[in-house]
Amino acid sequence: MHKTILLLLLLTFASVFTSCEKESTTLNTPTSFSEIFEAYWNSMNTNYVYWDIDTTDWDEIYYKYQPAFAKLDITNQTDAITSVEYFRELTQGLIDSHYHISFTNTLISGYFINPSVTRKQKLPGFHYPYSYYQLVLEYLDKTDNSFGQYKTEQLTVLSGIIDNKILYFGCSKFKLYSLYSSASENDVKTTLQYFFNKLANLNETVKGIIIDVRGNSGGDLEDLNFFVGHFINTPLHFGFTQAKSGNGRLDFTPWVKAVINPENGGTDITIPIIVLADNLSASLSELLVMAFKAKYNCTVIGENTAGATGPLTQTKVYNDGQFDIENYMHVQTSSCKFKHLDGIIYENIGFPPDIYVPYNPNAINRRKDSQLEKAISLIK
Amino acid sequence: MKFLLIIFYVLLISQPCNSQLFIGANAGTTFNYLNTNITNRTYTVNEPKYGYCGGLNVKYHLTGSFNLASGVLYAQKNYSFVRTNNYAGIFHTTTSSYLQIPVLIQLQASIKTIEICLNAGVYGAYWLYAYTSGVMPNILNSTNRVDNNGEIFQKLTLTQYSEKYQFSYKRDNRLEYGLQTGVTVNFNMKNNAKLFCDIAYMHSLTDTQKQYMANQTRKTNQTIGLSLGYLMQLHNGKK
Repeated sequence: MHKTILLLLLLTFASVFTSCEKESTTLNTPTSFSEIFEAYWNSMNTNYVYWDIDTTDWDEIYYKYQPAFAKLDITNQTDAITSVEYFRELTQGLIDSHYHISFTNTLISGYFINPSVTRKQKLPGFHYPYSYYQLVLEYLDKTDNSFGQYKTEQLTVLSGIIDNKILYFGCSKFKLYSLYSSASENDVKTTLQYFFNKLANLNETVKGIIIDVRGNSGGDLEDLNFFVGHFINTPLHFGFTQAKSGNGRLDFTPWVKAVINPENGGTDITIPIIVLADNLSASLSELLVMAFKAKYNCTVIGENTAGATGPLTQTKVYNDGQFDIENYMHVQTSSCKFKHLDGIIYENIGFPPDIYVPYNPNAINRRKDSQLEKAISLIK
Repeated sequence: MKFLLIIFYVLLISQPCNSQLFIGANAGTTFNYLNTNITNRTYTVNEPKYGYCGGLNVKYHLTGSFNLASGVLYAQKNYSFVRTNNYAGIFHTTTSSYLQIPVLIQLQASIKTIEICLNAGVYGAYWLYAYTSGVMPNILNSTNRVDNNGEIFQKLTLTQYSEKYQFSYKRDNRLEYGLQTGVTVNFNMKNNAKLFCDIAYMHSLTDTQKQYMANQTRKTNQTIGLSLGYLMQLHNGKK
């Protein structure tokens, strides 16, 4: 009897010091396509932030593609191209609109996978970007406007007065704070100073403001606070963010508030704000649209935005988001999910306009901007 | 609870002549470690956390040097993932409450009024509820600013959170069972009552997650409990 108890105790104590944990794959330099796929698949488990709402069966992907990759030869260029096609197939349903894969291996450098763009190109109403600025210039007061370009960043900003009643601002991407705070003078800075000066000194004749982010693909995250912070004098709660908290696909942090803080000298703009957006307004542009919508006096005109709402940052910040497999591929994916104040995640859906006015190439050919004209008509 | 009632019932109706049945209560602290692999998470360490425990105890003298011990126990099994280096100040703590029923065999030796018991057995537990709290970076609240050298630096805003953990039917495995071992020291008092000090090690054999994905990294609780308690004799069957 005593021997039995002693054995029981020994077994129990033994269990304390033994445990079996599966090591997660951490791979720097893969030597086979099997290793590449394992590293990629495991990194996706850990780093992709949409597993709770994405309908892709990631386990099924593993069972289907793991044997397929195992048959490929890492030194063979034809096999390398086949691997690109496999990655294209297996990522086609991922809802993260920031998601893309670029290949750094010399055999396949230049290949690029962007599931969201591939999907959108097949949608009715899809159109390529149109640079509205020359057209918009025709609507601005000829003596009261400012046009700036920063060609190395392919950034255009435009601001001015329409009909002596409307303050207009548009930009093609966001790198505003960086250029505004630059020690050297530049056209973008000049245009921003023009706009912020008008904004801070609105006279009674100005009845509304138009913010134009059509075709704006986003940019520096700090521009959100920098730009919208000029329109408020108290913090503006406009949504929530959530990141990964662990390695499991469904390990998430709680949702935390996304808040824009007023910039120095920011004033509460109470006159109507109209935001022009289209289905090429992506990333930070969409966050800006949703931030303005959180103010009571905003109307959005145009098309659904692109649906790339998850912000991007360095991997180390949240231990999720973009990752690399050395000498083979770079995967860009959102660092957080974003949920608007209305409780909806607009990733892959796009934020809808209050007034739908589609891209109209025929009107543009007649030098007519139908979306801008709709905005002007609302303010008048 | 049904399991506990069955134990009580079996103990009460199957009482042999020399049996002694004690009931009591204990309270103390737990120290839990979540056994998992987070080596891929940069600047992150997995820290064990203290918690509380307490419950009702039943001890039944079987024969000779052997007792059967059981009860119902509330136990917290907490852990924290803590960021280091440039990310110091960021953490994610999970505070989990379990209702636990151990069934232990005690091997007892007595020295005057002191009894020393070696315990070994199993336990079953149910994950009642949990809270998460912590501090996380909030990139949408963050701003870039220019330093004195004209360089832009990111001012990362940290946001605190504390809220009830929402169980997921798909993700969370709320049933836990495992092995338990430990030592109890009883101090016999007048009227056949005992004060006791108990140290227990609970080793979960079950994952806190359901098997919801392939190549899943396991997460299991490893808990040390230290408690003080009081037992009183409910029935002395000596004739």
